[in-house]
Amino acid sequence: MQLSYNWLNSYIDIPETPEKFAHFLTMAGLEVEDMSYRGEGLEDLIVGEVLEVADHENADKLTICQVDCGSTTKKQIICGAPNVAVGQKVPVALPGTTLPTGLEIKETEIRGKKSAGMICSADELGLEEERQDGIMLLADNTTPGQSLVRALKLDDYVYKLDLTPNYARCLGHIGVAREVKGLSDNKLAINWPEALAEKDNSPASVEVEIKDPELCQRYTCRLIEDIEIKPSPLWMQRRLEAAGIRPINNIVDITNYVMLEYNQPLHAFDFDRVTGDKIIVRRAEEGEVLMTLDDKKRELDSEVLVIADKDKPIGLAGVMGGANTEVTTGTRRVLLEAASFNAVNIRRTAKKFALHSDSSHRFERKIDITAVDEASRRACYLLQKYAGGEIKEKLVDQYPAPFEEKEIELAPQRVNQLLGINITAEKIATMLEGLGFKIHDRKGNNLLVKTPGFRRDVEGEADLIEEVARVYGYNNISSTRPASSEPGGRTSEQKKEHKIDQLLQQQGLEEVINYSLRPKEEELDGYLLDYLINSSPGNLTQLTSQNLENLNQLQVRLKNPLSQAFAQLRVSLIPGLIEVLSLNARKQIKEMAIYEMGQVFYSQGKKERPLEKRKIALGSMGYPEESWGLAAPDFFYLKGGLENLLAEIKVADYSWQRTKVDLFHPGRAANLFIAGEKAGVLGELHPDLAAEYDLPARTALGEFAYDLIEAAADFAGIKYQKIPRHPSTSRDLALLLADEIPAADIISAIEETGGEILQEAKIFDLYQGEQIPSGQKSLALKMLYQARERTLQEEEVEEKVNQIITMLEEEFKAQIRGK
Amino acid sequence: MDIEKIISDVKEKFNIKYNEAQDLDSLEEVRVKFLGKNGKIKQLYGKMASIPDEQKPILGKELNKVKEEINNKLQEKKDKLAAEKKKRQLEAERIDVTLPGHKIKKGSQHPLSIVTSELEEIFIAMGFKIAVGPEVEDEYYNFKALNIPEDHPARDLQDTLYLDDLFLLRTHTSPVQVRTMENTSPPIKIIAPGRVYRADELDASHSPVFHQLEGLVVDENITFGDLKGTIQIMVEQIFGQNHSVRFRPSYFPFTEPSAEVDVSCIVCGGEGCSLCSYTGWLEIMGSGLVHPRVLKMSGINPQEYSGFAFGMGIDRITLLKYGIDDIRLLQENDRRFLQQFK
Repeated sequence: MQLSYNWLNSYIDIPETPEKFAHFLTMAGLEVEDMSYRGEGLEDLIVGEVLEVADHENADKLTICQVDCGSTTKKQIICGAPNVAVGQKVPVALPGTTLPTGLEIKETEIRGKKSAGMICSADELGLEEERQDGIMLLADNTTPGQSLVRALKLDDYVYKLDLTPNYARCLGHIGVAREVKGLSDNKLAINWPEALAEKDNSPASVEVEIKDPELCQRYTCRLIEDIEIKPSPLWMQRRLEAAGIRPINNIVDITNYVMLEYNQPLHAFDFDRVTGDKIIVRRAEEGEVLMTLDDKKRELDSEVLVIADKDKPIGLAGVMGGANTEVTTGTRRVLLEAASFNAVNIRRTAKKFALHSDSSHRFERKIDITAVDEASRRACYLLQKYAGGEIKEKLVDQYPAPFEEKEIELAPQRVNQLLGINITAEKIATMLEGLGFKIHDRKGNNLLVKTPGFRRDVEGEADLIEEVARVYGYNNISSTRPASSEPGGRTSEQKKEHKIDQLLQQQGLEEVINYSLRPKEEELDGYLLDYLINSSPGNLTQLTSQNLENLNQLQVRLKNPLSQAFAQLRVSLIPGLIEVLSLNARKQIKEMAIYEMGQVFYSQGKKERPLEKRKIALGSMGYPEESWGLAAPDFFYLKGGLENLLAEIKVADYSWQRTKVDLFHPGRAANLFIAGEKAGVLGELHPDLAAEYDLPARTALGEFAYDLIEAAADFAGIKYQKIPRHPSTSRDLALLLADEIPAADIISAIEETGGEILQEAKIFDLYQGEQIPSGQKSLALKMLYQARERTLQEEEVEEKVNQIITMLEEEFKAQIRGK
Repeated sequence: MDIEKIISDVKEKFNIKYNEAQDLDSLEEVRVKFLGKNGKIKQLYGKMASIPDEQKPILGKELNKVKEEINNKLQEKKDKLAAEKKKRQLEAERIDVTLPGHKIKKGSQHPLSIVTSELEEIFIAMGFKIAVGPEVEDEYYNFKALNIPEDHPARDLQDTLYLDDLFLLRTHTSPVQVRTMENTSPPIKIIAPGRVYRADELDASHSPVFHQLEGLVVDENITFGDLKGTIQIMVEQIFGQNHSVRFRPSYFPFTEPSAEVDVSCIVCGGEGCSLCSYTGWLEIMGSGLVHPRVLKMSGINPQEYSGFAFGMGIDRITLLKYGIDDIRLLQENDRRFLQQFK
């Protein structure tokens, strides 16, 4: 909605300057998005009168004009326009003026003759977009020296309002005037516009039948004869332009003008093109077709309400008129419609045809059904005055379900309690009355409030309380704090999550956040099903109650995606992480380690709520430190990071097992098991994919089920254990064994044999190469022995070590080196 | 036998060797030569048997004296040479202290998480707990229970991404309010941070995926003043004390009265600049008293309890707080961007 300061000022004396009024509106809940001056850039131009026109002796196309500019002396201005003539009133830019085009006017000499200014064309003033053939001509009633802005009625401010749905009453200037009145201590009066005074009009010759009173609660119309189609008066055109509406002709302009006054959409039918003298408001028949004013054919159905004559639909009720009854230059008789339609039905129709009009916008938000006839009389007045209309007949007014004012009981104590203020019932009553509510009665101290027709947004007590708060001023309410003294805080699950976040960052990982919406087609689509099956906890088929055959079954797609780039929910965090690493690698960033925690989504089939699962994903490229001489720095960096994390949050029961996932290098991927359940996967990105994404070789990624990690974590109850006082003894072992034996198996076998006194067994070196037969590897281990309550005897340790050696020799065919 | 001469000869010979010795090894040689098993002093003791009885005590006494004297002198020089050696050694270990230190790899928190955590801490200190809810919602929780009926113009305030006829991606974190009220009896004091979705094209200031933080307080006698006080503290904590806050009437279907909260522009301080579109104010959140119908639908008696709710865009606050001019940077994850928030 665009509001004109001058227009509004004609109904109420605006108590603020144009600049301050913007603030007033915003603080009243009518948010001003933008404010502009209509005469912007034209402030210095004036009206001039051409007194003489003489040929320029040195130029064919130029004339020398003497122009009365209102000052004591006339100005000589050279003009190149073909249409200049004596007696014209024209826009003049005197020296020192800058035109909206940026051109600065100076005193100058053109082909030997002085020129002290410029007579302007409309395009030079920014009033027309296209190049004009000659200078702009002004109305005769303008006076030389007068400001051009005033002469053109452009001395106005326009406010672009962003109105929320509950401010529908402010979609007309009178509605805004009411607000101004109510919020200005009620001192101002509204200056109501003139409307038709009904005298002894003859009975209407037109009949109206409302077939569906649910969809049309009131329908009025009136026949107006002898009209003459011509442009509407300049002031009306200017006001319409200020409100953002293009003037067409007097009939269309008057209907628009009254709509912008009363917030009542109106429509004028060319009555000579209506068949018969009966208007029927009915649901369309299936298959009926109507060409609307925008020249589009609309296929109708029974959900759509139409205005029809005896033969055919002539308008899409409340949305747009039909082309078959459009007012044209030859129109002599119009039927002026003012009605009220069902908000939901209008909204649906407008949506169905993607036809959002000024009219549907207002009906969707409910108009003042009690003022329909008044708006019609106002339009009739203007049609008489500016279109020569002859009004002989009475208004036809079908009003099957008259508006009943809603009565709301309002307890002043409740108002004070909810707002945290303290005002009397009388004060509240005055405030509400100022806004147009009626205090119909009292019930004890309570007010019985009746809502007027233009406040159909008010449904109950809470709405009235908001009205009181608005008048009182939101910013006059004192700030307090809720009284409750319960402590806040995180739950233990939230503390765990917080800690996991911090621990990952401490491992050197940078947190990333990716869109959870993914493209319709993924480069990795061919890999994801295999990846998900081999990395997800439990049985995906069971989890999603689906017999999984392809990825589509798991993906959750949007029904109405805005673009192909955001068309489905992610099933894994991995594609996002690969893209982040790739984006950075392509920007010459050589080393980066990242993690993301977030939801992934699996479809569980049609009509089922998709599953939401939280995941932790890690990724690393270019990690500079090698661990085992295996050229797998990123893999072991991430593995170490995750193991540190698990240790910190006291998850002890976990293990790794080699796995095969197409996304990863065939020999470099492992599943993590927590408490025996598959919790995710870590692997080196397949070299082919690494190359495709311009990633360094050895880039590694992993993704793990957050719920399993969180459930196993237990670091809330830390209990101190005594520091052992007895000395410990360490023994190193170097083993030669078959390459395919997993190191983890050796460690767990040693731990089992080592019994209570073995505190720790760890691998500190891996060697393959010279001196080691092929197919074998050398592992160096360190074992730490200690007893809690006594000093260990050498022999005891020796015995244990021998047992372990025997076990390794027998079970793993290991050779002990240096033995 | 001239004991005196013998002693002075030994002393003289010792002194020559002693003075010649310039390092610990040659000093040790001197010690062996004079005090060793077959050293000069031992040899002189050996002469004891072949001298007259009356001279024996004298020789013995003199030899003890010399022995002690040599010992002392050797020790003294040994200490000195050892100290010099150590000094040389330490000097040799001199390093270029201006070489760069060893950097430990350090991770970082995403700016959205930093701001979320900061907001969480502010509200926790005011007695709030944290609640969460699903990102996939249905009509009831996202709209109906929040007093947003079907076919109401309020639906136009946010464009919804649908999965099918039953499910949609939540357009705000407000459904968490409903879920919380359904499962908790007052007093309720929660915030709910989370990801939300809208059918918005991605550009510098819009994103189809962004983040909100919702707040809800329900108790006896909760007032509009309580809402104002709570928001004011949050704004002071996150933007600093020198910012003013204003509340202006607005419309949200689930609150009544509703208020938009503006903070004085963080760039111009209220003078007017391009960031605040020359209004001096920045819109940062929506708020209001919980609509009695919303309370009722979630099983809370509006005659007994009242409440307030508020919701803000975490992305927007992050952009404002750090002066970031493009929302797309937040989910692009360029390392040079992420590294700025350590």
